[in-house]
Amino acid sequence: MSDISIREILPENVAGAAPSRPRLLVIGTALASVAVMVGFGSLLSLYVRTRALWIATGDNGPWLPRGVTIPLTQPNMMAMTLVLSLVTVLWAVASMKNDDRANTYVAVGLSLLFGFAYIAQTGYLLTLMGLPIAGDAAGRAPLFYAAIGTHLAITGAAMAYLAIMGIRSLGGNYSAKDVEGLYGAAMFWFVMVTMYFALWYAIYITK
Amino acid sequence: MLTWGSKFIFGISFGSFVGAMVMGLVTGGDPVGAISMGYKGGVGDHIAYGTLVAIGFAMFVLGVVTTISRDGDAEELAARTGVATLSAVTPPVYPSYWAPLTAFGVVALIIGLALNKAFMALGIAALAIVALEWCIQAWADSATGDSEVNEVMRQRLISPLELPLLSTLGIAAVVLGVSRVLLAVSVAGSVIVVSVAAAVVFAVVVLLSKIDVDRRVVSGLVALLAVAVLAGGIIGAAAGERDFHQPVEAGEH
Repeated sequence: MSDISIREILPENVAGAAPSRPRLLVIGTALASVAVMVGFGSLLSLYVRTRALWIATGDNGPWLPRGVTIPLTQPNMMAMTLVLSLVTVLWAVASMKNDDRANTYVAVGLSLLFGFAYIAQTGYLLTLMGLPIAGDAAGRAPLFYAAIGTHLAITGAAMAYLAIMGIRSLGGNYSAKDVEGLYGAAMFWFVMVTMYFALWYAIYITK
Repeated sequence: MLTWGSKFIFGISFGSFVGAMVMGLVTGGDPVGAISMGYKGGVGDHIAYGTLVAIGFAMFVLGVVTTISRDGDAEELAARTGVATLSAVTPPVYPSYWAPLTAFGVVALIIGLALNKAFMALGIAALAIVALEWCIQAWADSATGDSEVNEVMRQRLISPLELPLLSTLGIAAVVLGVSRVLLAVSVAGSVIVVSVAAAVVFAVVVLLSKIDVDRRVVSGLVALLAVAVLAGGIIGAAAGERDFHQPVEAGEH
């Protein structure tokens, strides 16, 4: 039986990989985060402007269609969930800086769990709101769903980023000397949570 | 303290906040509202004000990151990371298709959410494959200092999965995209569409087998096919399916 292993393809004197230049991933993530912030901020501005014009006209009735209410319990719980996730994301980075891999995996897993919890709560909130996309609310509902849906997409991207960095940590790519991937994922996670608070204020609080 | 680059970026941030306030005032906003970001009083034109405030916050974040990274200054970063000299950025030797495939997956997912569940499944499958492939590529790229050895290691690890996964994905994409078009056009139109599509595929494959084509040309053709599939899917799914008339058997009235 032949022994097929990775050693067979490695030449005798293969050079080791040069250490990667620091901060590249963090700078890339910062640029992506900035783009996300400006894009999402503009979307929320559009929402607020449309709402202000609707109210200023006076003849259109209330901004929220008849029978639609936005409860505050779920948005506040979502905010608390995301605040908790900030702690676990920082825990992941700090434990990797201490080469404590077991705690890193637990912290990454918990952060992803909080992310899933946020998405599930958003789904429940949308069900409670029961805002029809057509009919009487056709001029307003797409804006609600666009803003909330965009934030869900940002959350999905943040979760994917963190999950991939978790897998790379599991594969040994990161250690106390190189925490760059987890730094980047944590930065994007913070941006995602900050964006939620903008959404929370613009849509759920001021309605 | 603050570096030259970060001072510039903080300046843009400050200018954006000031610009937002000025914009708020000149477009009919309230002074208190323009300062408190609408907490008390109006902010004038919401889109202009909101976009400028978003740019202000975004530039502030970028300024903080630039300060922490010391404008990317190699000597300072080397001193902070405890090495004598920083290694140079290693450019990728082999082309990576995972970024365009990610774009394909995201677009298919969005189309799927809006129009068709099959496209959604295609998008999720494409993104899952990309996540796996990209992880393996990132690992292999820094496995050794020899890029050829790295590529061989990547292929040894992922090729048994890569070929069947990408083939299945490609077949699913073509079948989905073309089938939407076939369902949307008339009976005669569907015959024409499928004949032309089959002829084009046949001609391209024969051409590729006869001549030594640059890999970039093949990549371009695959990208064109991906865009055509998505465009066909969007048009077909948006137009909807034609009416199908079941033949009535003799004697049934």
